Amino acid sequence: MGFTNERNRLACRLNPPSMRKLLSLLLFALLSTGAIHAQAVNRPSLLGEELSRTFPYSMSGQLIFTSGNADYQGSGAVVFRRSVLTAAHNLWDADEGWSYNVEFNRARVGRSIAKKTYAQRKFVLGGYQSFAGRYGADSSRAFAYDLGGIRFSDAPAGGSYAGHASDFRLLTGDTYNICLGYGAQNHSGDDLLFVEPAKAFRATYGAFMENNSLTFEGGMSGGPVFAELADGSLRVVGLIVAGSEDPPSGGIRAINAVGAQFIRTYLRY
Amino acid sequence: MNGRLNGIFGKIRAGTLGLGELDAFRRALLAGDPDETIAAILRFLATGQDALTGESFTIGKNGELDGAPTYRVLLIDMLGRISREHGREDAGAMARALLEKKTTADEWALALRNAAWAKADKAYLSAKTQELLEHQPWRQQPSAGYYEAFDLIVYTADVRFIPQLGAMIAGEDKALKNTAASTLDRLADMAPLDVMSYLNANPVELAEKPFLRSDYYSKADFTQPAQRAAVEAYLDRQDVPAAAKGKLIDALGRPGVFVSDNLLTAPPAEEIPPAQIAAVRQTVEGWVRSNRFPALAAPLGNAQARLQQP
Repeated sequence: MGFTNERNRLACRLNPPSMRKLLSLLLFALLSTGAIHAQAVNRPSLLGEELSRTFPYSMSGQLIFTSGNADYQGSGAVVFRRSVLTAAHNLWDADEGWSYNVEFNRARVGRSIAKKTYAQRKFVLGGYQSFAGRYGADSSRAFAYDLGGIRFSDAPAGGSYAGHASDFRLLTGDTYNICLGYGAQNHSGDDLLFVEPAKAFRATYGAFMENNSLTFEGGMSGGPVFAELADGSLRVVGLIVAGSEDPPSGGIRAINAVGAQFIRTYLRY
Repeated sequence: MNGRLNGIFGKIRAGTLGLGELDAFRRALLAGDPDETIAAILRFLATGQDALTGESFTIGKNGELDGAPTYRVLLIDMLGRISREHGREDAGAMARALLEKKTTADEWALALRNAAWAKADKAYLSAKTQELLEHQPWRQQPSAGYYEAFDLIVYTADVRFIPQLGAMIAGEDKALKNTAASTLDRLADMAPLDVMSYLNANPVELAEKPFLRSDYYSKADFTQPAQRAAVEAYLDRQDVPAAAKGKLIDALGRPGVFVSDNLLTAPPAEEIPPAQIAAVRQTVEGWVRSNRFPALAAPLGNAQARLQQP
């Protein structure tokens, strides 16, 4: 299971086809982002070894999986002892079905991995209607449901996990947010990246939100969006699901009541 | 009750409906005298009048609508709920009448649900679902109800829909493709032996999507000898790529699950029963021991190691 040869994995991951999922997502934001104003746009940067190993950032991890004959990279976050929250499109698509050989490398920094675990069960939140819409899977309607979960037989963080919260105001107000993931477009894909929005997210459709003050990289899909609560603690409040470089924009799937119920029911282990 | 129905309808049309008023209206209908409420709903529906509510077609718990895009859809939903709760046949009878004429896909989806709740024959439901899916005006501009009606395929466990779903999966319409592929996944959860048997008997189905097709075998319950035999027949097939077979072996005992509120069916159990896991473990061990599938030794070895973990 998984990769036995690092070089093969890297070659595969850096193949243009291996990036097609996120690249296809990049196109969508072109359709939905409004006029571009001159403004600061923050781009993903290395979080650094020390912070990557510091809670709760250390609950983030790199997701490697096979879909059909190709290998892909995404991101996720430990939200319960043996459960990881990620983007649904990392786990299933209509051409190849369920992803397999799903490997979660928590708190990876370069070649060093705090813990490597393999998926036991995969869950996707979304019914028939979630795929409806003019643009199919590349639509805000689909992104609004883009929530998936993975359960492991081993605890990826020895029983620790990041807390989550379901409150759109933690994204649309003046709360501090930070988005994390293992970007593989402009970075190696093996180091945790972060990007902080310069302004609040804007609800686009349902639980899908956009922000044109930041960008994401391919490979960050499924990575956590944290919000800082009044007590200074950080909670996962959404996931990275889409991005565009031109015009700059990042799309996230916020954890709403349905998402929180999904976590409580299927990822409570 | 007639006055109340007409009053709300008037407010919707005039755009003067207050916040939360539709939900309060729903609660009042549920709390009212069922005979009186059902009669009033049927009377209103017979007028053919309708108006947009501003809500979207949203399914909540137990197949009940949390949101209805039109007043008629809202009333058809309430009629079904009240009839089911009070053991009345009114919603089923009304559904059969409605399904004789093409109104809207949303109304048909609700009528199919109401008919199913009224214990309609599954062959009848399949035939009407087929009509809905094939009706070109609805298919060309599918509404939310059109997509939700795919749940009837899962509910009826009718594998005769597989060629139609396969054609949608092979097609260019991404929304239909996704819906069809997830429907087939859920159908395989609902009726694993029927789906596997159909696919084994019809090897051209989904031949262009071998990895997707493998998922539909991953739901097998190995405590059932016929299901185990269907998987073995698939692993013996020469037309299936080894990598697709390897994917199936990787998923045995841990298939992926779609979680959603649907018109009629519930998601599969989140936990695989221990007896089923044990049956997978014993079967894989037997295959390895007897070298039953020599070309699949590597994935089987990985699966055996995985299944031996607590």
